[in-house]
Amino acid sequence: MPAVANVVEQLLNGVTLGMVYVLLAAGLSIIFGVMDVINFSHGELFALGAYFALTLVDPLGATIGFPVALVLAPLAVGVVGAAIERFTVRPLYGRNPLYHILLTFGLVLIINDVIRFTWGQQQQQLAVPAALSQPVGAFGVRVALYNLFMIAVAAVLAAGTWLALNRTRYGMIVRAGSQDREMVRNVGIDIDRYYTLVFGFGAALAAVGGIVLGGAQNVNPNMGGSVIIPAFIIVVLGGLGSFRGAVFGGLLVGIIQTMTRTYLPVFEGLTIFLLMIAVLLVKPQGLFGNPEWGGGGEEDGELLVGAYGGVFTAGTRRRLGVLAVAALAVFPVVATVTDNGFYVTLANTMFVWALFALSLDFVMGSAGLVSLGHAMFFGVGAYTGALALLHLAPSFLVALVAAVLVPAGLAWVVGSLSIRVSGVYFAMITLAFAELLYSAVFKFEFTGGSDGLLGFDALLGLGGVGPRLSEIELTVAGLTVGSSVVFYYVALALSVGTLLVARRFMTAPFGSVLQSIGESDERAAFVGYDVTGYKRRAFVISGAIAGLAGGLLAVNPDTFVVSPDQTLHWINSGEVIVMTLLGGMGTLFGPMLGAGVFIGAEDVLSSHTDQWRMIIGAVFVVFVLFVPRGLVSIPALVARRFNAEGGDPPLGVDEEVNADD
Amino acid sequence: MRDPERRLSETRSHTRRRFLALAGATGAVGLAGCGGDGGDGGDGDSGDGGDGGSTDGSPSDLGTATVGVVNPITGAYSSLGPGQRNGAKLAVSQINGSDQYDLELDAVFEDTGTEAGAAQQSAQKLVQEDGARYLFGAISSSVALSLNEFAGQEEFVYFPGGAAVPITGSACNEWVFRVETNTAQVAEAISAYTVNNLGTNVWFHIADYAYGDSVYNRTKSRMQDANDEFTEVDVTRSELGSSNYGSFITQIGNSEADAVVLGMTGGDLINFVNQAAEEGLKDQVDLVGPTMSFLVVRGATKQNAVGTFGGVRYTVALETGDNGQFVDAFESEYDGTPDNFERVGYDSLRLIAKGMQEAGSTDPADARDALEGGTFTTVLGDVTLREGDHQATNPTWMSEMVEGEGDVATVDLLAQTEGEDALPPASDVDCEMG
Amino acid sequence: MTDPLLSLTGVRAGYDLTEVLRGVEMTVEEGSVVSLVGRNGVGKTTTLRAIVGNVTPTAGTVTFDGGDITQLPTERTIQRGITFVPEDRRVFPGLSVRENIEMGRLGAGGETSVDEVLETFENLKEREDSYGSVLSGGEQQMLAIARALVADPELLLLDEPTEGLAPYIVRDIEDIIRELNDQGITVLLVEQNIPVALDVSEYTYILGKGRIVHEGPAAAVREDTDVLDRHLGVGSVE
Repeated sequence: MPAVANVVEQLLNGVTLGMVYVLLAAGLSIIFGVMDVINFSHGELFALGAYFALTLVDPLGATIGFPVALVLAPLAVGVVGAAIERFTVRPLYGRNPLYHILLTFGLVLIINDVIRFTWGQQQQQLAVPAALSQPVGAFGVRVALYNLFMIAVAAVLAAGTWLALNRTRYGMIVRAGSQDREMVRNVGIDIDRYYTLVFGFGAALAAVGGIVLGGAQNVNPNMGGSVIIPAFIIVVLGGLGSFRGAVFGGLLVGIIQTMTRTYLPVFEGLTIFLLMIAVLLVKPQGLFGNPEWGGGGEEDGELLVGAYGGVFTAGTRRRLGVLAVAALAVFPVVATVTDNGFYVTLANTMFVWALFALSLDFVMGSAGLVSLGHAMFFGVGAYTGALALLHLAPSFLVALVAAVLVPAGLAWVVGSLSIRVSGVYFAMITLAFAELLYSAVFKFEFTGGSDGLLGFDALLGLGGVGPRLSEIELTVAGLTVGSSVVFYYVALALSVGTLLVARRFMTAPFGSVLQSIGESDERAAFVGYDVTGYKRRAFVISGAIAGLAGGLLAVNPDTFVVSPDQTLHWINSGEVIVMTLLGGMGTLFGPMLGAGVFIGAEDVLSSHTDQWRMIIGAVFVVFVLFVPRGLVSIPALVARRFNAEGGDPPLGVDEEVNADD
Repeated sequence: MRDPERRLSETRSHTRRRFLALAGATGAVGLAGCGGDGGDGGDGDSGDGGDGGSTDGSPSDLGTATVGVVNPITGAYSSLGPGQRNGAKLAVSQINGSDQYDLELDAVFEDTGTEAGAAQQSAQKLVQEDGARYLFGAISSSVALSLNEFAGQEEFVYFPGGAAVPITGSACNEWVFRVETNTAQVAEAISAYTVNNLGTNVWFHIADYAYGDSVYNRTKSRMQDANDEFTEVDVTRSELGSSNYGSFITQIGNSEADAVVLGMTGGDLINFVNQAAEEGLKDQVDLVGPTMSFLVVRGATKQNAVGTFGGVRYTVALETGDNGQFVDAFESEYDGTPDNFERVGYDSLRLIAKGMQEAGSTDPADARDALEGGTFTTVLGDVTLREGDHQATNPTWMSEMVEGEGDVATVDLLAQTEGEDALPPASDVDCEMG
Repeated sequence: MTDPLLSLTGVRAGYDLTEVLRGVEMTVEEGSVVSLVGRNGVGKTTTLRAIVGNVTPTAGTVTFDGGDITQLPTERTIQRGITFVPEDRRVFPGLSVRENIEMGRLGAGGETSVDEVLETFENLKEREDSYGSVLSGGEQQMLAIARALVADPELLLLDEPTEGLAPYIVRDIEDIIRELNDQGITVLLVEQNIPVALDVSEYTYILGKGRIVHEGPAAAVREDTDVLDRHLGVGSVE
């Protein structure tokens, strides 16, 4: 009897959680379905709802304030959502969904910092009416009344949304828009106006979820980040654009999470990602998605690569490159002499991330494979490096080699599976794999669990022979050269070397094939190329380079711990994409530059203000909107400004023209 | 994600603030010669924008020592970090304004988040860019463990704020001293009482990281020793930073446990207690938490804490040591009453200064030697930093949370365990100092 | 001589880096049925899309009913009285037959009701609650036309309406076009199927390499084997 009661209670727990997810996922799914926009900031809107509620409930007290907040706060967030759509998302319609991800990622940084700034970093309690804060029981089953309340609210809203979608004119237009946006315009309806409404509505739904969950648990600045990944999983599981899918998926994930935690704790955190991967491989449109209907990830806009626009000639560029390397080589000397040793440490971090960014550009900038989970290779590389140092041999060479090989192998496996789908689905499946690894690493002893790995040390040598990297102190020309500087040169050499190797690949036929795959899978296949093989090869090389970056992190004498959040967390995948775009996709060196600028800016900004994340987010949003080709394209943009010719023909004129007639 | 509801830890967040010495700083930039040779990170930075000025009349014989203070301002322990920081600040201002000390402290601050990687970077900034030769802080034991490592490698004195035993146990080293009460000491206070008075069927629920494990191991072994009929009903783990304990609460409620020992603190403990109260768990099982008595926890659990039990590392009503002056000084300087983390910040910085004072030098190696085995007056009375593991011999208490004035529960002390009795011998905790 | 209902002058348009239309000139008289034919890939669909606004012309003018609609957004063009039945029909797969037609009415509809249109298309009426995705090719074509008709258009643009349809349905389509024209709707028809195009229209434009290479009364073009051969690659039309 108690066992049955236990199961029922756990099911109720699962349903409660699930319903909150439904609120979150419904908005996200509809937004994607109608507008092809992947809204990463949905989690922050969720949090914003809770925070607005806090502001209302604190002065008014729980009994009056909570119901008031439940109505007013979502409206306020809805307005915020509408504004976001109108001013930042709308200019991006028609572009590759990656840009929406990037834009909304930038919005995450902004909104999150605004929350921290306005309401503080601490977790706070959202008071709920006392009447709800008690347990109720029947037939030996006990459950918090508040949980039932959560289920009820979510169910009412879900039903209301369903009715709105299926029984009203607006709903019909929205549904039609998610199936074929252009055709809606072709029947004479300005679909853009509806987008603002849809976005705002989705945001409001998320806000309700935030309030309701905030009351159950607490309100803290991290609550948005912790729900956005489950939300994506649900949307993919249920089917992008499908409301029914969001409901089903939300409940399913909520129940699975709760049941796994109770009955199969070793699988906690893994099952939902495994489920997501399985669905993506078997039926990418999701359980309720329909392949005929639009809104799938197959329609890609173009990925705008960094184009230097011919401002500099090849010769100039080469000279600039040599100059840059020379400057980098001299830098540590200058830094040590002027007693700014810390900047060498900072530069070392930049090298690590520059390599990481290079690895991503290798697949994204040419073949158009947008990977949202690249941190997994970086992280596995770091862990492998540290483990090699701890268990194999203290040599840094061994560590680096291991850090390249293991992620490459992983990339082979992950790549082979992921390549079966494309576009948005590819991005999602890489995310799922990365999250799987992130969860898994906590569970093992040999990876150090949540504490990470400690106590590893690299020897600058081989076979147990060689000076301990962290203890190197040479005196060169009267200057004390510390371990950071020695590592700097190792990192510099590796970075430049890898860049040259990567460029070799790209200028070779291999690179052109990747380019053509990036433009059109089909055409490349028709011409006779083994598209899958090329993609996989590129992915493996990319994984190897990312692993090298991770290995460098482990070998760095300034690193004394390798932990999950530092290496495998999804935010690292996001940041490296930011760096890549910032620098200019497709140029290989652009993203490396982007990495340096990002880390440098972060360091400078964080010294001056607490709100540095918001500034970076804002800068990033500006880039996505106005300088999508990245920093390397700035010379071209500037040149165009100053060489203002009157209309050059925007289109080339071809002789034999064949359109998709 | 390990738990998709796990909060996002900052991977690269820092705030930097230079603390200006109070009490009569004349504003003269004192580039007092600093001890400490070798290594990078010049100490010449102490004149950098901050006023490390000397107080009127009092000679700074020994000079100024830079102390890095790292606290969790963001992350799962963000509610506890500011208190730790304030306690440290109070000590610094007292020390700098006092005749008793022949030195000045220049404190520099960073945020650890709750994550070792971020903490590592913060600490590095303090050591390399600001030239800190002394470090205090961290609350998460995982973070503290990694900083232990850092201190051992870079050879500076570190006073951790984490409570897990391994910090002065298997991961100890000669540079680490702990003024915070560790889980073994608290376990000593709560184990016997719980198993003898609340019930012998005990469920353990812990956060899955160093501190949680430490609580589990310690409490379980002390309970076994205290009562033959002790039975572990089950042990469950949740991820650090979780917000949803519904399924665990349901399991515990449906079991035969008389009491549940909660190996978690900060936000986790708050969430658990609140949810447990809502689900009616308190009516079925006694909740025992080593840190239940923390002011921050009581403040956020309010009525839900009433009827629960907790270990006490510190409470404002204590009449030990010089707690009286501490409470007065704190309340006049800051809003609100001091609690455990303020105390740890305060006494840690004080002992750092006292170590230097005794050694007659600001060199960390000298201070370290003076601290080892030394007995000092603290807020908890006279305690010794044991030679074997550098752990302070703090007393601890068992308590029950009872109705207080207003909606926050009050700590009702039930039994005290003396310093010497609370700690197992150094050899028992696997500490081997090189 | 009244002004033509629709005229294109010097229209250039294309996609991204490719220019497809290089100066198209054509007019459509009110009340007529005009066809636009040409080889594969010459830009026939692009012409219709340029008229309707799915593609914005980079040069030239499109005039409709006396107004310049060159730069007008699609929805406004539709609301002015042009409706578009695109290639592939593009019925809304997840909406019912009724809802599909309703969409047409919401966009640019006026007096005609959904029920009225359903009366005209009996086989659609029988399936009025079926989803667009389950209809056969022919039914989808009917639905697409019905959706366009409910808006009471003055000008109907049809892009390859007979593509992929069985001959007897093709005949039905031809009949419908004539019927609509009798009711006063002007039709501009793009077709791959030359016989059908020449059969049903009064005037024909032949597009080649982005420009009009021949135009004339459909009957004349029909007999002109030289033109048929040179521009369309057909021997004769039967």
